[in-house]
Amino acid sequence: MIFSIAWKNFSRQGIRAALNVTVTALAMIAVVFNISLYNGFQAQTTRNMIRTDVAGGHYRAPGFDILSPTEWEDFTLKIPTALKDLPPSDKAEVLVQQGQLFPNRRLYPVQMRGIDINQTLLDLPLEGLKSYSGKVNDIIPAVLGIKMAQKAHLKKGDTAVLKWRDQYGVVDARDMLVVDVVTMVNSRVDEGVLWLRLDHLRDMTGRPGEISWVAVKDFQGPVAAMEFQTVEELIADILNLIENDRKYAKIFWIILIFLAGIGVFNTQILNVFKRQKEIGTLMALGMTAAQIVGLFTLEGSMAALLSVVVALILGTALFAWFQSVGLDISHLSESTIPVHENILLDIHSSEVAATLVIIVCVMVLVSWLPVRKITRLDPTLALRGRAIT
Amino acid sequence: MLSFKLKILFFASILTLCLAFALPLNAAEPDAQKLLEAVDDNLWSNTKRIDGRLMIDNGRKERVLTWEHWMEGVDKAYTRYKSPAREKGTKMLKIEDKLWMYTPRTDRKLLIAGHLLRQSMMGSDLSYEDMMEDKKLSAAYKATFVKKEDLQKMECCVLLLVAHDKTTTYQTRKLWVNMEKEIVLKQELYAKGGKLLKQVEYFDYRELGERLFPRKMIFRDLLKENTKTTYMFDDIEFDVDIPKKYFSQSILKR
Amino acid sequence: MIRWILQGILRDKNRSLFPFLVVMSGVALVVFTVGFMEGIFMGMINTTANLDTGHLRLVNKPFYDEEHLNPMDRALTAQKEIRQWLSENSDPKIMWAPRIRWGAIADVPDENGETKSQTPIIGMALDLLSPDSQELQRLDLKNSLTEGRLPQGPKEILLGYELARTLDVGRDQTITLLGQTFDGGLATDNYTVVGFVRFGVFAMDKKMALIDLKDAQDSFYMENTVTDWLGFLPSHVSDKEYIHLKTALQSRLDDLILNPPADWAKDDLPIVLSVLEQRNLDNLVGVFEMVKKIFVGIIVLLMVLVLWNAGLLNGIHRYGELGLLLAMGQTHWKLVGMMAVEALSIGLLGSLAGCLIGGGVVYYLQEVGINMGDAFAQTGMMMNDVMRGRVTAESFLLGVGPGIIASVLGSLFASVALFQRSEANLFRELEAG
Repeated sequence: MIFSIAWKNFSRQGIRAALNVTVTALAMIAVVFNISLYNGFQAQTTRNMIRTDVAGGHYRAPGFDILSPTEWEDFTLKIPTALKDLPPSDKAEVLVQQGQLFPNRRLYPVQMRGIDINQTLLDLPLEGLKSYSGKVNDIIPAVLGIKMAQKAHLKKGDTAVLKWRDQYGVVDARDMLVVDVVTMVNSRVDEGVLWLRLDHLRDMTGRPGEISWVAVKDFQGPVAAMEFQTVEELIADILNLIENDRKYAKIFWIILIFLAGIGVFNTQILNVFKRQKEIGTLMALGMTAAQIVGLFTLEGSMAALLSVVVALILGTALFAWFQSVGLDISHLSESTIPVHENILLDIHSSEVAATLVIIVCVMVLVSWLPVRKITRLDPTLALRGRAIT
Repeated sequence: MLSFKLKILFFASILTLCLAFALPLNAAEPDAQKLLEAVDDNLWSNTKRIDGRLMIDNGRKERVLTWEHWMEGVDKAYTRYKSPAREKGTKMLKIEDKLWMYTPRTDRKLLIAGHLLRQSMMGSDLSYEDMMEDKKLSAAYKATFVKKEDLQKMECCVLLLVAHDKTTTYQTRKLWVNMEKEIVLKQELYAKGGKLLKQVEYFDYRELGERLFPRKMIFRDLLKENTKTTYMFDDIEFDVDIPKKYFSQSILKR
Repeated sequence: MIRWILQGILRDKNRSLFPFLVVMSGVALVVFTVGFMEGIFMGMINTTANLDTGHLRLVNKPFYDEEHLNPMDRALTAQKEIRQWLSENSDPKIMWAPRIRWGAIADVPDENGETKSQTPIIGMALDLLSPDSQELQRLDLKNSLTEGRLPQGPKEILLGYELARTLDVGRDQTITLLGQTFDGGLATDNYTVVGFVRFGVFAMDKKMALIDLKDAQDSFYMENTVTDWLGFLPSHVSDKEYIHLKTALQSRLDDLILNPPADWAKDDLPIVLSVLEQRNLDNLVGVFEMVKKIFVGIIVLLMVLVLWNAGLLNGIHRYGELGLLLAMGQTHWKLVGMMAVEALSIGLLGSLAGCLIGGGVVYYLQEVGINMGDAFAQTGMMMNDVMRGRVTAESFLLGVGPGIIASVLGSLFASVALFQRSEANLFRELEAG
């Protein structure tokens, strides 16, 4: 009974009720959108790192540190059989060595990264290396990311002298041919990196069967003489960055909820003020103050309940549209964030539910706060509309 | 002791002379390895002392350093820089495969090893490693005759040198050798894959006792633009007595 | 008329309080949030500027082109002349600080003085010792020390704390730097490790060392020579001005290039860069601007809706009063106009109050800041631990504009209802009210 009265009272507020519902629904959509966008960003970043570099983790030569190029040559290993026998879809062998590139006779230190060309675990745009048919003895085919190509002033088809040391420290140099300049979704494998075929790099450095690390699809258990680094360890810095951003996003959510709440709060105060006679009448008819508070609170909460429905309908439409376009952040690709393509939302139902529940609770609270004073009203004064002035 | 050395020298020069006469007979294809040995004998001696200048031109500026150098065989070498003021007192000591440096400013003995060996020596076109050559060319490489060519208005044999050992930094070199005088006029250093990396030219050979020694040597790193390093050997003495302390780590002090 | 409206607003709290509060909080929120975001963003720019690039950077082009190699021989000499030139030609707002970026091999001796370990490091040399130097504040070195003290005398060095661990050096130990001199020669010098620093940027903590500028000039024989002139701007200067300041300076630089100091090399060519052109910051600016627009847009939309609602409530609240005015012969349009003026006044007052509150909080943040602790240590971005707000004219405009517009629009939307009332019914309504 109380519910139907509340509904009737609420719906008769007309446009005011609609506004409250709209505001609350928009707040819900905005918060869910915001959370999901971060999820999407994080998921995409992680996915790109996993896709281009990390996979399911690395088995590394112990002590290998990507930040210490001069030590790369000291931290290589023959690939252990346990990893060697994995199919190319489950592992990618990688050898990293220091090299010196001389574009226009200027020194440019590079990371020569050799990757098994038959692997299918990592998704790298290295078709240029695969399809290169020229003789490797004369010239070394390499693929460069766009950023690297820009920095070194090289373009597709250019050559530059590449100098390196083999396993014994013997100087070697050959012409390197840029067979392709590609877009790397992960800028960390772009800048300063010269992508080579693993067999070429092994041949060049006289390191048959050697690796700096092996990216694997799944953890294979401990492997002798190697240390395993998990995905989380390998991308810890990025996860941290996003986590920090989320903290700031929370401020935004609070503001949204606050604005939505203020509308309902305002409506409720006015309701109590304008409908004193009604309250008095209800009291005179025998309703307890608590029942009337309940009625008014329910009325106010109607906005929240209805906004859940509206948010679900509007939100679904909006999100469906968004998923079809995505957020273009291509301008970010220049920065160090390993995402290049459009960002899509990653909606977690648990988070949606939590957002809705929290907002509804806040709305119920702000519906209740202004009507509490009904309990203190003198029914006789209220009947005459003089209880609150 | 000294007389024994002299005898050796005497025989060596006889041998050289014989070789010098022998070579033209075999003009079509001289014995490359023997020629290389002769060249080595000409350049290397038991001991020598050199007073010289090092001119480093990085394409923008030229720096001139003066130095004194003592060598015993191929294993031991000691260099002391005399000028400019900021390099004065800098010492380098090579004993077998180790290289130390001493600078008065740090008053420390610094080991030049590992990665540091590959760095440019005093900003020149030579790396410390290039300086560390610890074997005679004839010992480290097998020489073969390639062709004859004129250089500096002299007829030269071009020799191809291939390293015996797979750890030798430069696996192949080319030498332009004048057979008559058994002197090198030019040397090219190649990467393992055959790319020309560095070039050394030798000028103004003069007679010093029974040897011919260049007055000037120019190094070029061909991967870089417009750089060159010139060694001027102003005063050379062969087979001198070198105080023992020069080849001891204790010299690396103030 | 306006005085009458104002009196009405002030005396009848019910008609003004809620719209006022909504406008105030909305404006305060926009001002605060935009200020806060600006603060975070500027914090990032400032940290990058302070540690690395300055807000403006005067650098020799040959050096900049090969920056990744730290080519000391491409540094810009004639330090005194350039300082003089900068003080005469650059905007007086800009504070210039000379610095040297250097690279060297750090040699750590064992107890016998023999080489124990060698690691390549990168470094920055800056004025750490002059009593009036502001570099200590710029790098917040006092608070960044994890151990030890700041350099107080010559030839003292600060190491990134991760670097110190890799090198396995303790405090008061002497290490030797092997680097390149200005003329391409070998530089070697001893430094005493006096402290370890946490820059908060992983790569820097692991590879970076700091020494005094004069020491670097002595060690690397760079007398009267530096690699960088970093220009720092006071915090009130917006990042949008950087480009103008840069262009102005660059155009004046042409004269200097035509009549260069005697010590300059033939190919020396100083250029001016703004911080936004380096380290990919310009892309971040784009993202930041976009996020700001979306944010302000959502808030303004919600504020209009809420104020519209407040206007409607106002209409109900003042049902009788408005009816009376209509009954007394006031036209509908005049009433709408009056309500609009009222809304405008409330919008103005609310905005003013909102600006005061929001601006006050941001000002507090700007001056004091919130310590975020370790949050950014691992991010690899140049951020400071202390998050600060930033009071900008823009944030006020973004707050006040929508505040007033929303207030008036809300009231106008609501006053549409006025037209639905017919005079014929007015007195009946009044009697009933």
